Amino acid sequence: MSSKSFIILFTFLSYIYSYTISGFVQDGSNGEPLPYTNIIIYIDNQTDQIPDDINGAASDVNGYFIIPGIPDGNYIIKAMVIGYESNEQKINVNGNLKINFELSPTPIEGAEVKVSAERMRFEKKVDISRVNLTNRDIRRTPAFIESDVFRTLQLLPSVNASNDFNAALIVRGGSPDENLILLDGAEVYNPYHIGGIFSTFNSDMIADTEFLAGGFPANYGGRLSSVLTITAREGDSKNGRLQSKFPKIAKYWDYSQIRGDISLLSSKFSTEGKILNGSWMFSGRRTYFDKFVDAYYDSQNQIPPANYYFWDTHFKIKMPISQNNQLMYSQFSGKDDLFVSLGGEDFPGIEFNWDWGNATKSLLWRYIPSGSYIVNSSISQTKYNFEVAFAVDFQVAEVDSSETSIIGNSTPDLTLNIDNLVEDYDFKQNLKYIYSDDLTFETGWQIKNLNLDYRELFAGRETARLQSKPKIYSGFINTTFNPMPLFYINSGIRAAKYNEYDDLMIDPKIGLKFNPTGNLALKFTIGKYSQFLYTINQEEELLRIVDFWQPIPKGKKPQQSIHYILGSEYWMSDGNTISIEGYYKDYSNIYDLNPAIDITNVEETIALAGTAKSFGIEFLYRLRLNKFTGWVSYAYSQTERTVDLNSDGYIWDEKEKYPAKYNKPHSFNSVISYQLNNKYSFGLSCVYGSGQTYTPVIGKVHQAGQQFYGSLENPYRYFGNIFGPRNSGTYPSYFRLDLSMTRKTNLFFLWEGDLKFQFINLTNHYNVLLYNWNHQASPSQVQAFSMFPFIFTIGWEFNL
Amino acid sequence: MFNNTKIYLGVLILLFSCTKQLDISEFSDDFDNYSPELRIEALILPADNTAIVRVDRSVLINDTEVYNCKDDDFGQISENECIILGGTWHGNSDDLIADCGDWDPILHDLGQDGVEGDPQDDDEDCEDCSFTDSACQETCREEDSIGENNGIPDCGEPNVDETDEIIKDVHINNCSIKIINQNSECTFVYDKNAGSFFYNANFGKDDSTFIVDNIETPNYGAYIPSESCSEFNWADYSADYSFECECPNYGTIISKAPIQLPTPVVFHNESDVLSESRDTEEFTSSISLCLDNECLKNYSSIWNNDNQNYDIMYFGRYGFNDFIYYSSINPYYYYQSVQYFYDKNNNRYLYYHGHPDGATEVENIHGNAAFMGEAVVTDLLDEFSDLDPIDKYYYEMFTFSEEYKNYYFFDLLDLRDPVRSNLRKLDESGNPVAPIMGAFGAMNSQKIYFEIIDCFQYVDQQSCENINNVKSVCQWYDENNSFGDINKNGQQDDGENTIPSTLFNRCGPIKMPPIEFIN
Repeated sequence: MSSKSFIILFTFLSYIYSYTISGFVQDGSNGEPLPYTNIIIYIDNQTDQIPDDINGAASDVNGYFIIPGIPDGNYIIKAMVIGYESNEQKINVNGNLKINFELSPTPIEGAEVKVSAERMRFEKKVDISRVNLTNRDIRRTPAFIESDVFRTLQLLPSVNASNDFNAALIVRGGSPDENLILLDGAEVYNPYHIGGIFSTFNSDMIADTEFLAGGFPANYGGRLSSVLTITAREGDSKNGRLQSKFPKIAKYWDYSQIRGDISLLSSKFSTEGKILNGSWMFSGRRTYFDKFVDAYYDSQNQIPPANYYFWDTHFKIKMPISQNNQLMYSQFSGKDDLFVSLGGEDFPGIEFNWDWGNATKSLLWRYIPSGSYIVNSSISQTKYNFEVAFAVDFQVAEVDSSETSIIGNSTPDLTLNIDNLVEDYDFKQNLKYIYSDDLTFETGWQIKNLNLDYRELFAGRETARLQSKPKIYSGFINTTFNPMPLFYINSGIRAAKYNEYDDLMIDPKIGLKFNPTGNLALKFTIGKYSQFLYTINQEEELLRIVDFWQPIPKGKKPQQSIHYILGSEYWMSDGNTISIEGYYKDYSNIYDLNPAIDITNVEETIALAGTAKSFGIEFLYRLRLNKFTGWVSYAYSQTERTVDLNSDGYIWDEKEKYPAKYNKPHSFNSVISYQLNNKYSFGLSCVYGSGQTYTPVIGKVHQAGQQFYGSLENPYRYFGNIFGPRNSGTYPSYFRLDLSMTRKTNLFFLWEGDLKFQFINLTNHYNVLLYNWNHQASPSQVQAFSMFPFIFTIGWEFNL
Repeated sequence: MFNNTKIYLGVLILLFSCTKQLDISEFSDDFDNYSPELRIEALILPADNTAIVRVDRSVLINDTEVYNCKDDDFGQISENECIILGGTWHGNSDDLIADCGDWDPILHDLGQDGVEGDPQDDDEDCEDCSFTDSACQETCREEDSIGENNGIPDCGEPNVDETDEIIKDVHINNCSIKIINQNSECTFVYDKNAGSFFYNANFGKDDSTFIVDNIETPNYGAYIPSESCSEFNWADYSADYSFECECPNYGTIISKAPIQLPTPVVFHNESDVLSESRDTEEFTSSISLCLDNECLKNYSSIWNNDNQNYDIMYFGRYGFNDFIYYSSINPYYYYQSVQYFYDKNNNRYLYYHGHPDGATEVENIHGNAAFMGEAVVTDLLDEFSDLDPIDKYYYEMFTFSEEYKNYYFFDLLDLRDPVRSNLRKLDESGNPVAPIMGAFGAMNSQKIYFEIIDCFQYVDQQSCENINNVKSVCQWYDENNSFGDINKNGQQDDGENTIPSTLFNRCGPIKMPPIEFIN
């Protein structure tokens, strides 16, 4: 028998005569799952000492864990996570076991936790470029008016923001449409509120945020740069308030918490409780800036010239059907409404109404047929709708009559309407099979049915329409293998078929990890990625209110990128790690909005394909020192794009080979939280980095162009810019220091809560957003528009 | 496609941002190496049987001469000459010559902010006032701003450094230019009054009062065909035209390839497009087979073969969903619609507004032709305080040669982009090299005149039905045929939403809009 055959036989026999232990870990105070809890198992040695020879696993985002390959015998199994009392049980293993844990919160951060989940991940996971943020991490970070997951992510070394007004994530030089954003498994296409200043995700409802900045495994597909997975809270099923007074009702439905949050911008409300043997959670928020504006103008007997509000709600329900089956339903809805009214009297009135909204629904069925398998099946729907109505009201016809008057209210129909609809029906299923502690398989499939519809109407006539119904079918296999001690391999392949392109896209990935010492991990990943949708937003846009999604044009090759990532991570102590990662990303067929669209053939000419390359190095120190937690990071990056913008078949170096708009070579971030005592906590974030690129103005000339009103009829009407090489200028360095302070309060001895004070841009540093040239002067004049000045905000979060 | 949205994004930025004036020397690295270059707009205008070539130079960012803060429309001349020209002379009694222009010390001496008083507190003296001292706060904003009432023209004041004053400094007038049409060529001469544009001048303290007499048509300098070109054919649709230009210090510039002239649009009446015997689909399938404008004209009931022009169109005031329809032959699918109104005091038409347009595959292009509609504002223009409401207009629809279309419509491309510009500078060996800003192309145009008829002025059925009065756009509404039968949604409705019968018996437009009632 060859040694190879022997190993296979040995592994097989070991597997046959061993068992699997699995189960859920929950927060004992509210029944919510406890992700990343460390579960260890060791032979019962009749002492209180944990031996060195232990086995274990970390619970996943749903609190589920599997420990395979346990021979029969007596063991102690222990669940540990920081912030909770550990829980251990003596067990006798003579078959597959299901064990659930409920851990009680403790104010003392568990000194007894010898091996944290982070340590477990450090040792065994091959993940590269991964960061997990909890609700607490997000809320502790200082933020403009409201804590926000996107704004927190932008403080990581791999992520950039283009400016204070734009929450879009720029990950390692990738454009914002290259990020896969999943909310409870449903893809979100336009995750911004208030002109991109905030993301749509209310931080109160977030249980966990997993961010993969690159080299992500084959489980995820359809995007080139990163994956952001947001898991909403499931709700407190333990502390029902109806139990004592209405036990009969409480048996079926109960509520446990009601929370509110009032800030200068919005009010938030959340509540949760139990339903049958499951849980539910609801949260909502609405801005009320519009109410102040209305009240002011009402008092002046005037119509407001502009107004804006948004609201969003999230509802989630978890329903265990049996020990092996769980159903989970999650629904998110949000809507923004912007209204602007201009002109009137001697100028035609212009009214501008802009509504957009996201809605996601997802239903997940988790089936655990045996301790070694998990099958997740889900169906989800995402709907993003965007409507702009732009009306010019030349006049209202009035005709006098002896008896009465009539008004013709629709004299000329001079309205411009823009509608954009994105609907995504997604079916997916994946199966995870844990063969042994050293070998895990995951496989799955996905069917994505999209409906994309972009329409422009002028004066009731359709002037542009882009309608498509792309279908994307994909499947993947992913394995994690530990062939020898200290060496791990994660390999996978994803195959995808896009109905508008003939070839099957095959995207292989492989990740390697080697631990040369106990506290040092070296990692390397290569992965190929494909993307079938893109946004036709202009690269130069400053705000990103909405994304205009389009499928890759028929017959054109999908967007592709290859990631090469090399990194190392050094474990200093629990919560203190240093990591360095270098990456190179090679893009092909990236699609941009064509600056010279042929309107007689919009569908064929709307997009241009180009190439890009991005490379950089990132340093991240995550720290937990006494009462300080947070991170310090530095990143160097470069992104260059090459696009034949005029489609003449030649690359014009000065204009068509250029640094990306969001190219920011240097970026230093630090985020520090300090818990002074039980009453006060502080947060500080500091960002210093290169300014964004811009195209410099080098001269001025009279010129005609369709976007310059009247320039054809009057050739000297517009005295405009002559531009230098594209994106060759750089705004001054960006610096922002934000501080937050939270004080626990007990208002009227009745409502417990937190008072939050936020100081944004504490030093009032003038960060330039854009330059605006006025050429109607000699010499020309230039004005800078800033990003956020110093801003102070206050908010109060309370529990009822 | 998405330009309107960007305007409002800008509004949002303004809500949150602060602005700061910067010293342009901070940007000297960007513009120090730049030298002025040519921008040429060379246009053949077949509808006018002529051509025009505008040759201008670009200007340095740190130039200090173009905007000189003077009022010198008529240049530096003597006081007498200035008076004869009707201008304001800005010299002292001992000056022989001085600036002469249209700045009025009574109306226009508003200071550098261009508005009466100092509402923006440009001299920053409001900072000395307490916030609670409303009298002080008011006074510091009501007082004169910088340069206000100082008796001399200042930067930022109305009629100082107007467009017609500054463009004289950017025109290049010493070039040799010719346009070649196969075997013949036309040389051009510089004329300082080659073209004109509309301009709302004489801005006063009360800028809300528009008077039509204030609309000026200043001239600009450009090159026009010399007298020797009288036989040159500027409307040969089968010919190729090319362009050559030589400017001292700037070199020789040519068009990279010959161009062809675009055909103009053909107008149609609504009855051509949609009538009891024909629907839009039938019309579009007919024109889709056309190969030239003569064919398109066969489907136009307003084309008058006798005078080779279009009949005047009429629309009822407050008429609903009225359009001017037009068509064009492949590949001329990009347009500019320009509307003019009639100034009866001066017996002239004046520019009102214009906008680009284009035919799309989805909506407008049918086979070999495109079919378009321009929405008509069926009302009288009453913006001007010195005119009766205006009821006469015309639209001029422009079509473009491929090259000028690229220049005008692809304005997101750089001015020197080799696709946006078809002009090339020749190197010493005579080879075309660098693109020059601008384009050589052609714009054709066609006019359609129309009038708005106020049906409500006809109070009896006889005058309402007199075809000479109402030109078939009004009708008499009685109890059997009332516009009250149209409900608020524009649908026929005999139900409770109809107008009470006491309101009937009046003249109205045939295409009555949906209505609502007020008491």
